[in-house]
Amino acid sequence: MTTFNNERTLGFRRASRPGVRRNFGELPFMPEACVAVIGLAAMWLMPGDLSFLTRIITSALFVLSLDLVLGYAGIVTLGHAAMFGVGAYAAGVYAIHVTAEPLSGLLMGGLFGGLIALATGAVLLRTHGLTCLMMTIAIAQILLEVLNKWRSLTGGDDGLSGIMVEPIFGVIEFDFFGRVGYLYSLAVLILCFWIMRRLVRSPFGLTCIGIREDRFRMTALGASVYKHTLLMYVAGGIFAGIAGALMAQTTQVVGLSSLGFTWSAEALVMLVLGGMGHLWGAIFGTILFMVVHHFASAIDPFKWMFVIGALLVAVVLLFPEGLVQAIRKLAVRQIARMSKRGTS
Amino acid sequence: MELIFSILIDGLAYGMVLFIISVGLSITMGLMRVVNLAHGVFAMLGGFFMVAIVSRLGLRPELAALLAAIGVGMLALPMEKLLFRKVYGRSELQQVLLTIGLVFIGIAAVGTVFGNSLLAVPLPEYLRRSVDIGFRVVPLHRLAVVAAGLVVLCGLWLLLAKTRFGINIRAAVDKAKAAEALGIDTSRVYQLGFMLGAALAALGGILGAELLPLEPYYPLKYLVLVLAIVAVGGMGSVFGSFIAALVLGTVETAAKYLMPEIASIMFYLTMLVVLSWRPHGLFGRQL
Amino acid sequence: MTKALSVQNLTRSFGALQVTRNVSFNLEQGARVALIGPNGAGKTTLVNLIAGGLSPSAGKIFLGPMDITHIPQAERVHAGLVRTFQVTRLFTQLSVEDNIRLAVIQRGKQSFRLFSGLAQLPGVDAEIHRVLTLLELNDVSTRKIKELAYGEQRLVEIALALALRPKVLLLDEPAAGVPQSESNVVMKAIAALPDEIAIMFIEHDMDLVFRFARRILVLVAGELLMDDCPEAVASDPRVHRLYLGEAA
Repeated sequence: MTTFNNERTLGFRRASRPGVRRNFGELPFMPEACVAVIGLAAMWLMPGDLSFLTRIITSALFVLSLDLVLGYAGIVTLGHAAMFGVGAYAAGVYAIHVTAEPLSGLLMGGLFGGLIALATGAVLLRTHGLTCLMMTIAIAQILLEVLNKWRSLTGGDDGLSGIMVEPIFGVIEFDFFGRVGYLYSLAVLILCFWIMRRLVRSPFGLTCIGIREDRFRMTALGASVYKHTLLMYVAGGIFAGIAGALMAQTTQVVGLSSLGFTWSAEALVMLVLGGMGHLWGAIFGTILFMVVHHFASAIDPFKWMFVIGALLVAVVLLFPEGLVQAIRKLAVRQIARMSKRGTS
Repeated sequence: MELIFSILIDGLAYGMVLFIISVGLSITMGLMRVVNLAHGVFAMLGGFFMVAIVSRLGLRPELAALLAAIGVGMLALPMEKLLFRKVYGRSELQQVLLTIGLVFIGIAAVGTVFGNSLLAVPLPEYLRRSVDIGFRVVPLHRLAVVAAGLVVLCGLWLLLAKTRFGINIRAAVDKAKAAEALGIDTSRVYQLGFMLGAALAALGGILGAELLPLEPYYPLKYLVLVLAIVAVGGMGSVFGSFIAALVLGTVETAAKYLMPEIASIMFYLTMLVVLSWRPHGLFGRQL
Repeated sequence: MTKALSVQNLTRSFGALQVTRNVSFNLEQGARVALIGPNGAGKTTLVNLIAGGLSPSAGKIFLGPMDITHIPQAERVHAGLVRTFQVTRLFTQLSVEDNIRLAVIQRGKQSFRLFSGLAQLPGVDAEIHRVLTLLELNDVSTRKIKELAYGEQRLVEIALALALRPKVLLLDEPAAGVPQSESNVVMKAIAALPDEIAIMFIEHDMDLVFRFARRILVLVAGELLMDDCPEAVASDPRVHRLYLGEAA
């Protein structure tokens, strides 16, 4: 039903077949190590752009959480930012009114993101198709309005500001240049990425993939589609909430747009550019999108919209598996061609 | 009492505008089963074309409106052929992505050509007056909008119930394969249906310019509004769109008067409640 | 002794149209029953009703002693009632092994294990191996479904059903669409199905029917015309009329 799958198998080869070389993704901690290396390299190469790089990281985490919901459970949503925004406000309010300890702040964000996902998902996931999509949009809008009106807590239109962060573990202070903030975000990203990778390679993850591919068949295999999609939706909500909390802590400001439709839509674009259902696609798509955005929107916001719009149309019509996948396949073919020439 | 009347009049006008804009989407979504998030672009283009025609060609507003609607309808034809046709039958997600892309392109195009500000739509002389209906003064324009909505409703009803084209549309909406087996050229029906939907949206955009101001971000701003009408009314149902538009329009207007703090929440809440109760919309059918 | 499956007065209407009328029959343990009838008789609808994809307008269904009439489909599967599909409905992007793994995981109620790697589940690999061996699919276990021949895909359909360890198995045209050259393989697989399972299969292929069925149900316009042994059905004039026309 969907065409958003890559051509490789999902790499569930077992070590019980000795001699079979494992996929890259199978080697323990390789993907996480890659992210770490890229992250550290970026910091070394662009020491003056750390706040931008940190934004990339929090966005990547958000888009990863969307991948869980859309790429692995097949739920099309344009309201995922609701969980991000709620997590952000939760962490912000927690920091201001309770304690500015960052790690528990992240947990707060995750907790509230998960709770909202649970409450809304329970209703939402009984529907599908356009109705489901509409409800995701409606729920996000309602939450946005509610937080807007709750000025005393959230600052309404003006947003929440002055969010402080205490030193991590009581010793590592956040520095003025954003270095600690960046490394902190990177560490959170890597940890969450590791957890998500385990999640999608578990029996639960495989079941969700089955549901994404063919819900009815899964029911005929005895799976409760509702329960599994709800659980994955909650997982997505938890990580979105953590991403929001991370953003609140590193930018020290939260605005209503963090729940907005535009943010949900942008996350969707980032995910699609990179390719859904792979997790790493979310990261690459985010990097690609934000880097281009950084350079393009300075020129003219309308030109930027045009580029994104054209990209989306191109991706749907020409590269249904995402740009990154298309480039990857091209690269693989080129390498194969070159190695053939080399050996002949 | 006066308050209730005020709410009704304003809610009615607002609802009619929403109906005219959305009914085309309901038909095309019912026909082609494509989630088209770009429908608002047609409404926006209607307004912008009309203003351009009036200022460049100096024609009367009514004529300009008609030409603009037809123009947008014509524009819809190549869009259907080159773009939408490619995603029939593909997953919802791909349709969402394609049409969001078109929204962005539409916004960028209009923004670049017309600039990022609100557009004022010129009214014909005789509609600039207001009518005193006793307790309130109502702009004649608003009554004209209500009248237009009713004309569209009746016109569509006649079209669907009494003409061959209308029967073809209803058949194609009901069961495309069976319709094809009967010799109905469904691709032609889709094309014409799509053009009709776009033209109606353009008309709605023009008529509703007072309530839904025209600007480059129009399609995004009112996207949810339009989709809500279609979802609540039921895809493919003209009458459903009508009822949904009136209900949602009146609810939001009433809320604006009585509880302005939560007006938009009321809109979305109503939508949520209706969709939870009847996931296919009030008059939609099981696909 | 309780029947494996008991269907009582099952009825289903769509508005004024009755697609299933007052159907009653039983399947004993180890049954081999064929459901035949002309196109449009409502055979697949009946299977849908029993399996749980469709809810009945009236009547009851019992799986052993349990009343499953209003139980959702997924729960019926866990109770031991499994169906296959007439048009192959597999996960084409996954390998044969992973398809079966999905079924085994559901059966073992492991589908909510969030953090165990797939290699760490006890017994799953062994179970997959058992099913693959039973259907002689070991050679293609790592190939993706879309790379398989249609006959082999039908086998995987049956493999999925077996992995769910059914007590009652409903096979919807297991040989449908399979070219002559491959139908032997499917037949062999059906013959090798465990004896204790009660099996009802819809078929149009009369070879298959008379080869495997120990009892035949004839469904016409939603009603059960006959429920008897193959010889009786083969010689019944009404059945002849149904399949061969008045002159027969």
